[in-house]
Amino acid sequence: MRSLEKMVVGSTAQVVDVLGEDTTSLRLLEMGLTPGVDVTVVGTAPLGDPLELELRGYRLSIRRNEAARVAIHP
Amino acid sequence: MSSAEVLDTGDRSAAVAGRTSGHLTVALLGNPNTGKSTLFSALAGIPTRIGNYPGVTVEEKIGRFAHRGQSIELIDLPGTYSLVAKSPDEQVVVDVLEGQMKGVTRPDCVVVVADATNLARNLYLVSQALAVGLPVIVALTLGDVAEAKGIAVDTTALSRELGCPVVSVVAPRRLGIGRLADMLVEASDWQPAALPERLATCLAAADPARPAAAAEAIARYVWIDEVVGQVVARQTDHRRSVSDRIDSLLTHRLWGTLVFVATMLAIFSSIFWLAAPLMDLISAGVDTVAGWADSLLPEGTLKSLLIDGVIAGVGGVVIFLPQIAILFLFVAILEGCGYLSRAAFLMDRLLVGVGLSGKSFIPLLSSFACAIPGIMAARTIENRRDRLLTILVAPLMSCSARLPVYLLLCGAFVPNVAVGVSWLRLPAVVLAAMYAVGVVVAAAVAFVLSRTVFRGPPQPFVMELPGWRWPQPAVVLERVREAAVSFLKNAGTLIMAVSIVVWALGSYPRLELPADNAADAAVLKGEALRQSFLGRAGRLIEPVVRPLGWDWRIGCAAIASFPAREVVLGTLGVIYNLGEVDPGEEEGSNMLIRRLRAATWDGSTRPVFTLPVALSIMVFFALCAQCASTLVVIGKETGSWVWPVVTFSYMTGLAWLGALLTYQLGTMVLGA
Repeated sequence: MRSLEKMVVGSTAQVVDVLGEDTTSLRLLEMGLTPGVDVTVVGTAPLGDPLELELRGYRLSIRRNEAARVAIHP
Repeated sequence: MSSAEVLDTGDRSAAVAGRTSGHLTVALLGNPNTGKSTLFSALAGIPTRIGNYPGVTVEEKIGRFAHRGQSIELIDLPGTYSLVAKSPDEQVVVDVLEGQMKGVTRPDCVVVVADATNLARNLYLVSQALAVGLPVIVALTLGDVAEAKGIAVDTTALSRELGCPVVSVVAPRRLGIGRLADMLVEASDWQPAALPERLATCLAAADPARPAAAAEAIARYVWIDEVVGQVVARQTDHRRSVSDRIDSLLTHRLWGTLVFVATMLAIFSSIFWLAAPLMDLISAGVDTVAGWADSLLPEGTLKSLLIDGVIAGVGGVVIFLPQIAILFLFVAILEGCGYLSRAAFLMDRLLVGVGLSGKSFIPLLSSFACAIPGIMAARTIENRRDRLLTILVAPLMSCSARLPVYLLLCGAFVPNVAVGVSWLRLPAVVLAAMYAVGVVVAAAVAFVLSRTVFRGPPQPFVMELPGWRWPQPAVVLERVREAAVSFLKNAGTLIMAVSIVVWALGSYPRLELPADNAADAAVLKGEALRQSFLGRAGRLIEPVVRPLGWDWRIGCAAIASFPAREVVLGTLGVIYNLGEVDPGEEEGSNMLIRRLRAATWDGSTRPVFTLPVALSIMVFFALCAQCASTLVVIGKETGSWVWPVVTFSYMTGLAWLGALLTYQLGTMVLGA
């Protein structure tokens, strides 16, 4: 299972699940990163972290270690 | 049935049945960046009450307005993404909605502000609000931005799906405001909102294998996807609007970074150069007032207290008002156009490297004008550890009060030679270096503290990046007004008290006047200072400041600056017998520079002020916590007197060390 963190900039994938049971994972879910949603990696900050994502019509920024919790397909 | 009767949950200690007195309380709920503040302004104008909710650092903002004979109290709740509270500050929103917040009436109805440009995520909060047990109205904002993006929301269908009224508002143009206000007045007779059937079904079908909160979140989005499918239409071939183009520029890896750097430089320069004419105006005003006092009052203690203590002290602080106002103007504009989050995004990696996070960027940047608003801005940092760390290093950002010291000493003692190119002069480089000293030391302190005393799990950085939007003048000006008023209030109280104390320490014990009064008033004043408590303190600590290259006079000025570093120039002026001349003005500062250059160690011809000495003074001022107001604010924001003490101690220690190193290395490298 691939993670969001490994996605190439500019590509789109579908979220399969968000791993982890702490508040960070809950936050990710509440911001709309739920199973089935399409997410695009729009870009990164100049130093490669955090990531800029587009989902559900808006832009979200999360750090790589947070993105590592999100399993995607393909 | 009135909603007050339906909602009798037993504990109504904080709630009042407002409606019986013709008074309605409305809560404004919504995600951040949805135009909630603009809506608040459009409905209620200037807030009547701003402060802190008890026990937390979240801002309480309440306004009042009248509509159709009803008096309406509008509570602007802090922006939040969910009613599942994950921090004490988020808990505030829940507490107010449930009537559990002391001093705040339980709302009679809730207006949920939803952003039409990304309705899906906004509906998450709406779905939770529908279960709070109050009448709900959805105010759909940013419709104009949505339209420009080719997004169309069918408000009738949405209202049907939600089971509550939906009003489209374009607050900056006051479209829909009247209708919303009408509905608020009518809402007092409504039933509380009920959960839409489809939502209830989805929630009931939540996956039991997952933790409840996660399963619920996923179930809500299942419902949201259904609703959005019915209600939102996206044009696939819409023209790229101006906003889209600006967005692309700002998020571009190269251009975006350049725009960012240019913006930060512009803010910096404006704070200094743009503020100058305004500061001159204020300075002139203060002098006029001092002039009146001088001519109207009889000679004596009261006159001295007023002119040298109060007016000089307060005037010296009020002069910073233009810089504070300009900084807040820029921060409010950046916030209004959605750029603050982008700045935090760009800076996050760097700040994580020193143990902070991107959210610390704006509080720290603000501290370059004045640490007080910067420390207050740290309220946006949810994680307590990060917030505390940010607050502790914020005073190291060289604030505008240090600038006069830097400018005076750089101008007087740094040789005006070119560095590399002809337009880049050494004094300017040294000035920039002083700012860099503060930043580097702050990074080091944060790094060390985050790995020792403040070890902890990293704070999540899940943050929305709002798209470009045009800032609203009403909201921007309101922020500037708030900042200015609170700054002036502070100047009028604590600074005034401090100035009086410094004046007293510098005036007593009184000097015995010689029989023949022909002596120069300026020299007398200088002598008086030497005899005073302040002067004696300066001579007492001379052994401690000798290694820094200072004599007792400089030590005196440093001590006098502890409560408020702004007084240092005035104190130097008195110590070096300037008398009536104002060291802050050009002529005055020229005189002061001449005196400083001529100053020698007691009983010798060796000059006191050499380049290493000037540098060590600047480094000391760069690192020392010489601001009682800042320490007081730190105490208030952290809720404990421990942290101001810690801040004062570590900064003074570092300042002494830094000045020592600078002087000793300086004399080795440059010669005494």
